[in-house]
This record gives sequence, C-alpha cells and structure tokens, in this order.
Amino acid sequence: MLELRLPPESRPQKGQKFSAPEGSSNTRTFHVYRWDPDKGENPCIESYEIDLDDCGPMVLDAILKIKNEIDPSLTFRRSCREGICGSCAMNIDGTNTLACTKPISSISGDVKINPLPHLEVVKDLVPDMTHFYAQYASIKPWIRTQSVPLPDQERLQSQEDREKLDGLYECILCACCSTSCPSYWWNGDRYLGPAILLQAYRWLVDSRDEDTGERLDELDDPFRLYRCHTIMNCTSTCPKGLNPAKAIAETKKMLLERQGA
Amino acid sequence: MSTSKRPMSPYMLGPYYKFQITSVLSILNRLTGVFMSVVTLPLLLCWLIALASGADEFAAVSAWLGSGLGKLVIAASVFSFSFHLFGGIRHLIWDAGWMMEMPQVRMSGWLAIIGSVVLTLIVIGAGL
Repeated sequence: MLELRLPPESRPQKGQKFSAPEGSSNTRTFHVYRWDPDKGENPCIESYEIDLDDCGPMVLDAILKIKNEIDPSLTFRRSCREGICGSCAMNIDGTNTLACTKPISSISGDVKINPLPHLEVVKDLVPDMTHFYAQYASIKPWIRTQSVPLPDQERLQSQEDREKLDGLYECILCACCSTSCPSYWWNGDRYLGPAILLQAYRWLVDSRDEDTGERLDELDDPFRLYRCHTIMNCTSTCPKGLNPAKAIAETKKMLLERQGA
Repeated sequence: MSTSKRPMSPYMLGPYYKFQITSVLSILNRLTGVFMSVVTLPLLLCWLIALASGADEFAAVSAWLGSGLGKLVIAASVFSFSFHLFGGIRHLIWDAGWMMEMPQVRMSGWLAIIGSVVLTLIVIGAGL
C-alpha cells in the first residue's frame, strides 16, 4: 500500500545529545535512531559527538565506540566487520550500505544512521527480517534436479557456465537493495524485491539446475516479479557492487523468450 | 518481551532516503505521464471538440490557450511529452537488458534530462 508518511507512533523524536570529551579537536556527530521496546515511547534520534582521532575508520567502528564508551544498550547486528556477512546493513547518510565497509571519511558533515527502511524495528538498528527470509525460502534456493546423479561423480559445470554465476553468487543477502526499493516499500508483502529476484536468477542461469521452467512459472506473477519498475535504486546502493536490476531484466527476458519468440 | 507495537523504520525519499538520479527520474517519468493523461489529453480533446462545434467555440479555446496560463500549460505539456519520450526510450533499452551498469544509467539519465529540455525549447521556439 502506498504510504507517504510514517504512522504517528513510528515518527522519530529528538533525543539526547552526548558531547565528545574535552580537548578533542577532530570530532564528528553521529545521529543514531533509537527505539526501546520496553519503554513504550516513540523512536528518537540521539546525537553522539565522537573524537575521530580516537576511533577506527569505518562507520561500524564509530557505532562500536558509542556502544563501548557511551551507551552499552545501543543495539545493532554485526559480525565479520569485512563486508561478507551482511549483518551490519543499515541506512547510513541516506543510502543503505554496510557499516563495516563504509568509511566515515566518505561522508561529509554529520552522519545519520537509521535501520534499513520500511521494516518493523525490533530494537534500535535491528529490523525484523522474518518476511525477507521467508521470501528467500519461497524461491527454493537450492539446486533442483530431475535427473539421477551419476554414482561416482559430482554434477559438473563448464568454466563458461560457471562464469554465468559471477556477479550473482557474491550476494550476501544483506537486504540493502530490497529496502532501498520504493516498490518494495509499498508492495513488499507480495513483491519479492531485488535481492530475492537476483537469487532467483542465480538458480535460473545455473547450468546444473533442472527446474528452470518451474522456477519461471513461480516468478511469472504481476507482483512477485513485475512490481519491478526499473527504478534502479537497488543497483545504485548494493555494497557489493552487484546489479539486481540487470538480473531482474534478464529474468523478464527469459519469460518473454519462453512465450515463444 | 514487550507487547507494544513495533515502529516502522523511516523510509521517506528526501529526509530519510537520498534522492538520486535513479529514483528522481523514475518519479518524474510517472508524473509526466500522469500530467499528459490528466491535463494534456483532455485539453487536446477540448480543442478538437471546439473545432467541431464551430468557429466561436474554437476561437474561445484558442484564446485561452494563448493566455499566460494557457501558454504555461502548453509548455508543461511539451516538456512532459519530451521527458516521457526519452524516459520511455530508456525503459525500452533496459527491457532489452542493455545500458544497465550504473555509469550508463547515470549518463542516459542526464541525456534524458538535457534532451527533453532541448526538445521542449525547440518545439516552443518553433511555435513562437
């Protein structure tokens, strides 16, 4: 459903301000979205002034510094700190990206940090990803075969066929792209969104998968696939430099070709 | 665990999600399409009906089109048509799977903006 404003109880209020220690010269202010499920209040934006001379280079370093030194209750997901787990995906400086690979120096002025857009917030920067993962499960993201495998051999793939998976297998399912897509904001209940459609395409072009027809049948739906209007926010924001919009366009082409060209 | 309802995380284009050439041109393509459907096409139909109705009616509609507001609506219509044309061509190219890398998307976006402004100026210039 098209909603242009947040419901009243979701609108962030102004929160507290925390200044950097006296004597810090190279400071930067981080405005961080906070919401505590136990308080029953609206979310608020708290401001933390950080001494960059005493902080690592990435946005995640600053968030960890806030948690370690100012407010241990600040809640967020993180794990690998090198852009491969996808846990620390959040809205930083108005676009979705991974906090661990986003240099603070690439942002001019104050740094705004919000949870991934248009999701239910569990606490602070942690959104509820249940629906996203359920959508991933719905495309059955594993190799589906009809033939019986040879007893003494794996299912082999030529080098050229393997190369077709480049730019697809790197997806870490961080959901930056899906939650950057206005179409996914408003139709995410039925539209699969760029991340899941890129994954679906990854199995469509895998030469070892034998369920291409079935997979195309499942995607051939006005909402699941065709709510993509090629806005291209997804490709623009992908922290791994992948191209979900292109994968979706190729999927639409496969459906067209199947209709009988 | 609290039973209170979870808030929706902020998403609005502008204050929370940066406007970019991707989303701005997508919205503009829609707005120009809506403008042509709601304003330009009915106006052209009015003009055509006035033409069929008689000289006085045609003169009245033509006079309104020549007024300041009429000229503004015509200029907006010409721009809407031009932008929607270039936007449509961009979508056709994308539907073929071409020009979908971000540098190409940005370049074709700027081309669509510049092209539609130039086409608007040419058409209006020819009409003056």
